[in-house]
Amino acid sequence: MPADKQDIILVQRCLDGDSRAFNDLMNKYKRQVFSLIFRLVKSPADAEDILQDTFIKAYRNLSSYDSQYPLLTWLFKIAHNTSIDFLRANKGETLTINDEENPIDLEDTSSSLEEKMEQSSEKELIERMVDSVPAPYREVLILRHQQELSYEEIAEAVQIPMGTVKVRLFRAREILKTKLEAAGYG
Amino acid sequence: MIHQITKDYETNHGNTEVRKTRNLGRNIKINSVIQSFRVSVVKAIISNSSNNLPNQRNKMPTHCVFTTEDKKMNCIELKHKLPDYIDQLLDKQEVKSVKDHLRACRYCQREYRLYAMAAASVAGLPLLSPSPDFNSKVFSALGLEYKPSLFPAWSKWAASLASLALMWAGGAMLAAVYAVSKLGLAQTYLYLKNPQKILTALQFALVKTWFILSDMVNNAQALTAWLFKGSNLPLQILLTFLAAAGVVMLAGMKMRYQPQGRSWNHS
Repeated sequence: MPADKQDIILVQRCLDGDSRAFNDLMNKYKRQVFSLIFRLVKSPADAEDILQDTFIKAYRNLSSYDSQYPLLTWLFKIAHNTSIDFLRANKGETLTINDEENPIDLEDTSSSLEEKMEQSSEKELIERMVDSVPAPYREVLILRHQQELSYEEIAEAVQIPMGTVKVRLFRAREILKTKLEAAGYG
Repeated sequence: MIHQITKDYETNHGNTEVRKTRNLGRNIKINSVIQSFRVSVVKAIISNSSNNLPNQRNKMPTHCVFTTEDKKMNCIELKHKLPDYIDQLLDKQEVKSVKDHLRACRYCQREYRLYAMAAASVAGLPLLSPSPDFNSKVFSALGLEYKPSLFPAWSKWAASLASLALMWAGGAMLAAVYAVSKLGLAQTYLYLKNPQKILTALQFALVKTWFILSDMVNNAQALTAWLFKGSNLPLQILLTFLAAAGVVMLAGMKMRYQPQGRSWNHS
């Protein structure tokens, strides 16, 4: 899916030195990109720092933007790489995974989820379930279902082959489905 | 093959209908056995799953026991198709096969429900916002002067309010025209000279205008309802205002943007 015409105009204006256009561009996409980063790093302060780095890198590399893909996909790609760097530096969760070697961890979380259900609302519980999916799977889930990217766009944003996107999505849904099942849904 | 499947099913679920079918199968043609077996298994699944399978009620059968009438899809095949079905990547024929199967197979219905719920739970996650001064921080990090947008977030509300004000201004003009046409210019002037009469005349004109506007609104509503069948009134009104706001904003952006290599100043 090629870039939106309005985005191409915005990028051109930025390249022409119109900083107000970059402000418009940030206003347009900061929520989507911030939501993805926050779901990956799980800390608002860290997410905002990564978002800031993402937009700074985007501004400095606008000339290399390829309008073959939507601008948002390109921003997700930068956000993905910046998040990987951050997670590596902090030795926390990693966004890379060997899909062939890593079996899915389908641990039964029913007892803890039942306890949580009593304490929190359904919405919070579901949010927590999504957050408990391993990061590489969670990322493709969010890109597909929340941001509504196509398989091809996800492959571009996460820089993995399309086949791997499909495998990860399948496993991600399987993990989340199992968690929902364990919590008594369905 | 059929005996093996039947045996498996008997072992797992202890269904007598299946056993009868197997006994019959020894004496009649194998095709009719397969058909009756399928029917009996489907019936068994549909009627007895909650009673006879207390421990496996929610589990997908480990082997394929259900095939749709056109024999195009079984449970295992369906499970592989479900992700593409959810992502709307199947062609019409495949969608039909999946729907047919889901209509008849409760195991797969449940499987589909869970997959769809997983997708919906992610789609329903709220979009989050960074801090309000985020943009200025980025500009400061880039060493650029922060210039807020010409059309900030509240501009669409302002445009809507402006549209509303314009509508009422139009109504007031109509009222004035109506008063002049009914009373004449001199009489209207006399009325306007007397402050008390102004209020009376204004009230009268406003009531009349209200009726006219009501008629106009009714007509506009009928037209809008025809244009947006299935939508409700608040949405239609909102759409009208948003469209007006959009036109104003687009016009503003067109005026503001100067394509590269051109200038409004021909000199």
